[in-house]
Amino acid sequence: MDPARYRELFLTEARDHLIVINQALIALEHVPSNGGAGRESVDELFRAVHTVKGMSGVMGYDAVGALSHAMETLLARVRAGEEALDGEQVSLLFDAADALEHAVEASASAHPQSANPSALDVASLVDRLQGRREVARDRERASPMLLLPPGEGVAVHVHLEPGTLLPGARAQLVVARARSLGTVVAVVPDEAAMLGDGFDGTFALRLAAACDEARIISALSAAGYVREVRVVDDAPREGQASENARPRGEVAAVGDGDAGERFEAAWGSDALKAPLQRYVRIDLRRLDHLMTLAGELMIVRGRLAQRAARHGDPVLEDAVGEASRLISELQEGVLGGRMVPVWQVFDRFPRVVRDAARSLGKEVEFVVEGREIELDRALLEQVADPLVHLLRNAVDHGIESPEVRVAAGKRPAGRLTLSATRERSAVVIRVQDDGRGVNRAKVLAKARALGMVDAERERLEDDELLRVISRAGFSTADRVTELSGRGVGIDAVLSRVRALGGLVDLRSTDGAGTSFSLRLPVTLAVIPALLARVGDESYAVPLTHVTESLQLARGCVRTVRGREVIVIREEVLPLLHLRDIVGLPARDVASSHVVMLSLADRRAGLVVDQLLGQEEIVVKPFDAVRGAASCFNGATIMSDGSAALILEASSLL
Amino acid sequence: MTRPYLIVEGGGTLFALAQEVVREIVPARSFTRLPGAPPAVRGLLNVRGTLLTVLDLSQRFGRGSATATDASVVIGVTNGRSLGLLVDDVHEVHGFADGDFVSTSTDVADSAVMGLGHFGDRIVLAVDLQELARQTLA
Repeated sequence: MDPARYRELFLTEARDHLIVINQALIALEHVPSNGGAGRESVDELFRAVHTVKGMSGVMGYDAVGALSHAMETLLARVRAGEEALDGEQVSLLFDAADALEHAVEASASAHPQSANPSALDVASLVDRLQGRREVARDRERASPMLLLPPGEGVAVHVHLEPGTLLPGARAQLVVARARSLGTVVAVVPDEAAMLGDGFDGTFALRLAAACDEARIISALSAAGYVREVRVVDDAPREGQASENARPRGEVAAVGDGDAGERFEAAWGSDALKAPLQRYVRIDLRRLDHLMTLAGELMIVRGRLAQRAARHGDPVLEDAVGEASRLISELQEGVLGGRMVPVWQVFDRFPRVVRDAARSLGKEVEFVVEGREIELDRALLEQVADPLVHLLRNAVDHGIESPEVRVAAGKRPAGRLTLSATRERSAVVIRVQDDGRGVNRAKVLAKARALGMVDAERERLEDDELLRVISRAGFSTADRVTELSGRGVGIDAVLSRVRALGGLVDLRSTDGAGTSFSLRLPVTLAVIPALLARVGDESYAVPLTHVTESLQLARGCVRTVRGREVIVIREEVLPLLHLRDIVGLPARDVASSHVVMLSLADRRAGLVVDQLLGQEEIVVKPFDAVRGAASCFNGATIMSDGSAALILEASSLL
Repeated sequence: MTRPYLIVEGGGTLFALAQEVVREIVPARSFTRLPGAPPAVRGLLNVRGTLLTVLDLSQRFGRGSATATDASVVIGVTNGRSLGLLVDDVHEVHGFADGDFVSTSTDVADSAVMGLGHFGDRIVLAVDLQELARQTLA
C-alpha cells in the first residue's frame, strides 16, 4: 500500500472527525457528561477520536496517534462511568482537539517528518490527559477465559472495545471473518446470546484454519472495534494436558497484519453506523474536468443546432433536439455533483463563535439554520472566510457584555444566528445578532470626517452605513481587539462576495441588532446571462443584476448636469454606454437597446447596440491582464468557439 | 553548455524563446479583444476550452505586428500561468550558450530581453518569457 495515495483521504476524513469532536465538546460544555444528552456527546466524541486514532495508526502519524490515544483513554474512563467530565477537563480536551488538528495537518503535509512544531505541546498534552489515568490502571481486569468445547483447530478469544455499539452484530462480523479463513467449529456464547442484552463483547471461537496466528489476529482485528484477539493452541498433544494451554500471541487491535487490510479496517470501522454507503468522495479536480467537458458539449450543442436548423431536415432536427435535451440534463447532473450542503462549512463555526465569545467575556447562544441548503462547493469554500469575519465581528462589536445586556433589559446571553435559505436561483446566507446595532452616530461622524458625506447630514441609511464601514481602513472599534477592529474585515467580505457575483446587504436597528445578508448565486460555473453586441463584439451580462431590457427611444434620453440619464416610469437613471466601457467609438443611440442594471439600491441603464438573447453560459476564468478593464474577469465560449467577455455589473454601479 | 531555444519570427524580427517554457504551438484564430489592455495584447484565445491571453510578440518589442494569415500562437507556461505569443512563423529549435547572447545597445534596455544573438546571418532577440508573463499578467 502506498500511504501517499491515502494521504488526502486521511486529511478529508480526519477534518470531518475534528468537526464532530469540536461539536461534541461544545455540547459537553453545557451538559454534564453522565446525563442523557451528555452521554451521547461523549459517545460521539469517543467514536470520532477512536476513528482518528485508527486511521493515524495505519498511516504511521505518531503525533496524531499519541494524542488521539490519550484522548480516547480519558474518554473511555468517562464512558465507563469512572470519571465525569468537569469544565477543566473539557477545556483540556479542547486544547487536545486543537493540537490534534495541528498534528493532523502537519502529519499529512507532503513532508511529514520535516517539522512538527507542536511536538512539545503534544507530549505535554498527552501527559496532562494521562495524568488522570493512574486509577484506571489497577482496574484493568484480567480477561476471563471462556470455555470452548475441545476440538480441531485453535481457540481464538476476542474482546471488543468496551462500549461498542451493537456488540453482537460486531461479534458476528468477527465470526464471519473467521469463517473466511477456515472452518469455525464452535462459538461461545452462541449467536442468540451474542445478540442478547447481556453480551459484553467477550467471546471465543474455535477455528480450524491453515493460516498462522498473525494472520488470524490481523484478519479478525480488521472487523473493527476489536480491542484484543488472542490465539491459543489448546489442542491436546502428547504428554501435554489441555489445561496447559498457553497463549501464543497477544496483540492489540492493530496488529502486524497486511498494511492494506489494516487500512481498510480503520476506514471501515464505521460500517455498522452507516448500514449502506450511499456516498463516495470524489476528487474535486475530476468533477471540474467533467464540468469542463459538459461545458464543451454545451458549446458543440449550440453549433449543431445552428447547422441542423439550416438543413431543414426534420429527422436531423429531432435527433439534435433530443441530444440537446440530454446534454442539458448531463450538465445539470454534473453541476448537481458539485453541490454540497452548507453544513460542511457551517459546522466549523460553533467552535469559532465559542472561542471568540470566551476570549471577549461574552455569552453567546449560536444558532445555525438551513444547514441542508446546497451550494456549489467552490463557492461555499470561498465564503467560509468572509463568514468567519462576520461572525467574529458580531461577537466582538454586535453582542454586548452580559452586564450591559442585562442593564438594557436583554437576556445576558446574546443570540447569534447563521442561516441559509434558498431564494430562487440564489442562496442567502445571513449572520444576525441581537446586539447593540451599528453605532450610527459614530459612523456618521467618521464619514463626515473622511468627507464621504455632506457635513450637514444627520442620519445614514443602512446601505450608506455599509458603504462607509466597508471602506478599507475604516473602523469604529475603540480598541483593536485580537479578533477584529482592524478595519479590514467588512471591506474584505464585500470584495470577496462581489467577486463571486453576490451581494451584501446590511440592516441595523439601534439597540436591537445587526444583520448581514450575503446573496450568492447557487453555482459559479453556469449562470443565466443576456448576450449583447456592440460593433462586432459580443458581451455577456449576468442576469443577476438585470431587471429588464428595452428598446431605446431617442426621446427618453436626457442630459442632467452634463450626464446622460434615462427616464423610465418617472424614474431618472444614469446611462452607461457599453461602447464607452469597451473603448469603441460612440454612435447614435436610436435603435439601441438599454439593459437595466440594479445592485442593491443603485441602478443604471446600460446601452448596447443589439441584444442577442438570454442563455445559460459557462463561466471561464482567465488570468487578469495588467491595465485591462477591471469589469471583465471571466468569459464564456460562444457557439462559434470564440470567447465573449462577461461584464461584471457590480463593478460598474 | 548550450540550451535549446525555439526560434520564431514576427514582424520581420527573429526571437529566441527558451524551449523549456514552451508547451505547445497552436494556429492563431480570432481573438477576443480585452478592453483597456496594452495594444500588444491581442486578446483571449480559446484553446480547447481554456482561455489564454495572447500577446503579439513583435509588437510588444516595437517591431511591427504579426501579419501572416497562417500565424501561430506559441503557448508558454511559467509559474503555473500561461501566456500565448502571436508570431508569423515558427522556425526551428537551436542551441545557444548563455554567452551567445550579448546585451549591447540601448535598444534592449527592457527586462524581458535577455540579449541579442546570431542565428545564421541574422540577429535574434532572446526573450525571457517569464518576465514577459510577469509584465503582462496582473
